[in-house]
Amino acid sequence: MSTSSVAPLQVTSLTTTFVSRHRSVDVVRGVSFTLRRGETMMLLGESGSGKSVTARSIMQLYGASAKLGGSVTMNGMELLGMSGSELRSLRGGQVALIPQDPTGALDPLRRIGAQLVEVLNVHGVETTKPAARRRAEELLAMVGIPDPKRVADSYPHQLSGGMRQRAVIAIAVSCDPQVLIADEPTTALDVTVQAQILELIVELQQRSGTAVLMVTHDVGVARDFGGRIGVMYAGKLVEEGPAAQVLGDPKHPYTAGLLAALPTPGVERGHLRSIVGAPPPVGAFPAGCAFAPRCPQARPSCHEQDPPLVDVAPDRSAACPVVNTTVGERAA
Amino acid sequence: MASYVGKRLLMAIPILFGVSIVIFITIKIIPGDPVASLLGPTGSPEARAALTERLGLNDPWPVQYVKWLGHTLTGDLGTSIARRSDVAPMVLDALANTLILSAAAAVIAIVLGVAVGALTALRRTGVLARLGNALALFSISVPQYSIGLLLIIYLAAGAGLFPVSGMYAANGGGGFVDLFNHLILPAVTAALVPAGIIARMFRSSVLDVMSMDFVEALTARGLSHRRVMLHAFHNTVPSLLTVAGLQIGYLLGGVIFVEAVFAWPGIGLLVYQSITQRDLPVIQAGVLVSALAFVMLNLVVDALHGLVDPRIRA
Amino acid sequence: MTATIDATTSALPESAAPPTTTTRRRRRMTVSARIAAGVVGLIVLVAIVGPFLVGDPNAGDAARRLLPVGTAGHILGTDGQGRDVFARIVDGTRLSLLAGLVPVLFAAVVGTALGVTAGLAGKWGHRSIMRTLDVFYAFPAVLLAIAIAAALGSGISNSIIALAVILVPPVARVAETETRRLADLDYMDAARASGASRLAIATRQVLPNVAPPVVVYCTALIGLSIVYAAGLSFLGLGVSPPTAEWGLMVSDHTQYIYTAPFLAAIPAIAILVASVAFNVLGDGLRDLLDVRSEARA
Repeated sequence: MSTSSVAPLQVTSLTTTFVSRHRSVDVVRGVSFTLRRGETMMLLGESGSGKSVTARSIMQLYGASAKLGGSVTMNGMELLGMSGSELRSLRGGQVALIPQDPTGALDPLRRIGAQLVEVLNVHGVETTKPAARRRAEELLAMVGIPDPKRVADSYPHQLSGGMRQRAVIAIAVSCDPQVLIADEPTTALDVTVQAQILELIVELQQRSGTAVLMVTHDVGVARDFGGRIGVMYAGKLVEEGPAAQVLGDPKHPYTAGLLAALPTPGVERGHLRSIVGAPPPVGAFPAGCAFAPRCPQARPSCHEQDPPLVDVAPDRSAACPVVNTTVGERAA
Repeated sequence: MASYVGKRLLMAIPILFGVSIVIFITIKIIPGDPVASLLGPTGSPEARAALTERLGLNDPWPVQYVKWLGHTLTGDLGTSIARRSDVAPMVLDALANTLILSAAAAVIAIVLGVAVGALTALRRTGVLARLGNALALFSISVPQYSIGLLLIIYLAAGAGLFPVSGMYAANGGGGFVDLFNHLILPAVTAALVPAGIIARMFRSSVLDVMSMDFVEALTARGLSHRRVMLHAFHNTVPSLLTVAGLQIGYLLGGVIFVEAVFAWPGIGLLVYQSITQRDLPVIQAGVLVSALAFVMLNLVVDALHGLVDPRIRA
Repeated sequence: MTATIDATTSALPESAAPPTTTTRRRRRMTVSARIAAGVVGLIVLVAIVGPFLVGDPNAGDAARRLLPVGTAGHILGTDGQGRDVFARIVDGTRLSLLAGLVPVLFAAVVGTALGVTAGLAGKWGHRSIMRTLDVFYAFPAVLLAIAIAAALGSGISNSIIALAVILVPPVARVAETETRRLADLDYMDAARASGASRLAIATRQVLPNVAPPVVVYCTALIGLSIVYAAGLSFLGLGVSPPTAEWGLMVSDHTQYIYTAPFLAAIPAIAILVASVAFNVLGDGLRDLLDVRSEARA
């Protein structure tokens, strides 16, 4: 792992704890992964698994309400503990966010063009208004908006959901980020638009070599997108590896359960398998392996000791002691 | 934008029509005989009949309404029973004074309300925030006439800081400073309730905006905290305008108590004095011009709203 | 077709899980709201039994005028006619409370009926009701009440009518908004599809759901209405002297503002306490009945 120190993004033992006056809640509990140049990493998991919080913690968007631990480096530079002004030039510059809901991500009272110009000015990419304006229109054209001039002069409410998300993406890529974090970028969109937006992200990534960290709860999206997958459960990575291998031959019972829950063509509804029970609520993760209470293969020791994420095959890791024996066959 | 304002103007017409009907109805529901009250107990039957005919009281109600509306539209608001003079100039003078008082109160209410609302929203815990919340609750519950009285007792009469009543000093003065001195206490009194309501509304609107995704999204774009807050504040303006518009209506009504207590020569004092004299034409004219002023102010607020918020112009 | 995890296993655990201890704690009244409920209870109690406990509120002794607060036998002093202020405050509770309460009760019934009707009626029914109510919004509310009360002549029943008229439109708006929200929900379609009559839908499906927000709103309105009612009396449009009533007492005591400044404050404080109590109770009920989502974590 000699290249890891210069990887665009390396996350090591990241923990996120939300602190309020009355209690503190661990939401992310020691997540580690490396994202290399031009690579895609999928964080796959259910709501409450901590995948979005992991992504936001990298950008330190929670301010004082969350305590972060571990380490996050970009090109070897530590981000945790950075000063406010360092963080500001980082956010939107080297690392950019595409949020879930494009409607909420845009200031409803400002024209699209003005919002792009503001970001370009703040990051010193374009310092004069006319130049920034020209660049804004180029960016809008680049994300596949057919009439960038009109859209630049539009308010968010005048655009369709898909157009809005394209505008949000234009803002995100405006300063050539090395890492693009996409938090369920298609969940709020119509099904027909979803594929287009995903294609756009792939296209931008191929053009500029940006590393993409994509958060999703949608196995289909993960499968289409490829790259690497990290499966999250109860604030931890339970399995990590190349997408095709993880989805084709899961090494963790939770991943296997997720795949089994998918309706497969040719299988009758009655045979649809799903995971029994519900994921534990945030702040009430059980001792031992958090998945053990729902795991069909749990051993007594699973309820006491939390298994670490260990290499189970070349380039693959999983956090389950029963991993090599049965899981793969069951899912096959 | 122009078409938006035009549409608003058109929508005001049926409202004003409705206002005139309500006012007319309040004239018609008055128990007792208006002729008797105009002539007094000494009127002869002939004089009564003549006056009844002259006032058009033999006509059916719709005819009376149309005639009354015609008079009103041409600026004839009737004759004061108590003062035996035209109501229109009296009411318009008073309206000007009321608008001065209301404008001063509106400025105080908005400044105070926004300050307290922002404070309690941004610093949700702590003594200051609790104090702000309690103050806002207190001020929306308080009877204005008694607060006015207390201010008179302690600041005006007790400490001798401000004049107690009227708009200008009887001797000397008459200038802007004099007006300002007379204005302070009634304006503060009138501003208290709206300030409390604005503070509470503004607090929740700040909390709404701060919980909106775009604050996080703007932070993620690398904007400074100050810039993000500017965006956020900008987004509270539409709802602030709505609340402020409603509160202006409250002010125009609530000033009656303030004017009565401080003897401010506005619509409120005029109406108050006319109540004791049962001078109904003056009361109705006062309410009518207040409603007119209110509708106009709402139009201005609506136009500003459209200017600030592109979403409602569509 | 893409399948999602959410569809097959579970949604947000925060919302899917049964109410935890935190949500249950949320659903209790705050301390201040419970104190306010106690004060409201006390006021109602005084209004009912108070007049029987104190002496004649109109018995005055000209020799014992304007006694200060704390005088033996006159705990709140005496007014300009030597009448016991405490007895008058207690005796006046009933009228002051009724003058504020009755208009709200009337507005609650009429406003809800209008609002629900407008919400369930077709386009034209909805328009005619709501546009008519809009007319009342064009008046500064207090001035309209004053105009109506002045036209009807002084007297407590006229003041009640005047206040009821200005309180109906806002209550109707609350009820209409809630009804329209309900009408968009699926189970209303189900009720319609199952052949329920409009009246049955209104009484069985809509009313139980419209009631909570209306009750919350009206509780807070009582505070306002008490202040308004006392205000009308203060202006000489409510009860007539020598009846004991808070607003009238404020106006009566104002003439002694320089000789006995505290005198005018006493009835004003009574009005304030009653109004604050109902407002805080309204806030508490709103928090209690609103199901607020937990902060995103």
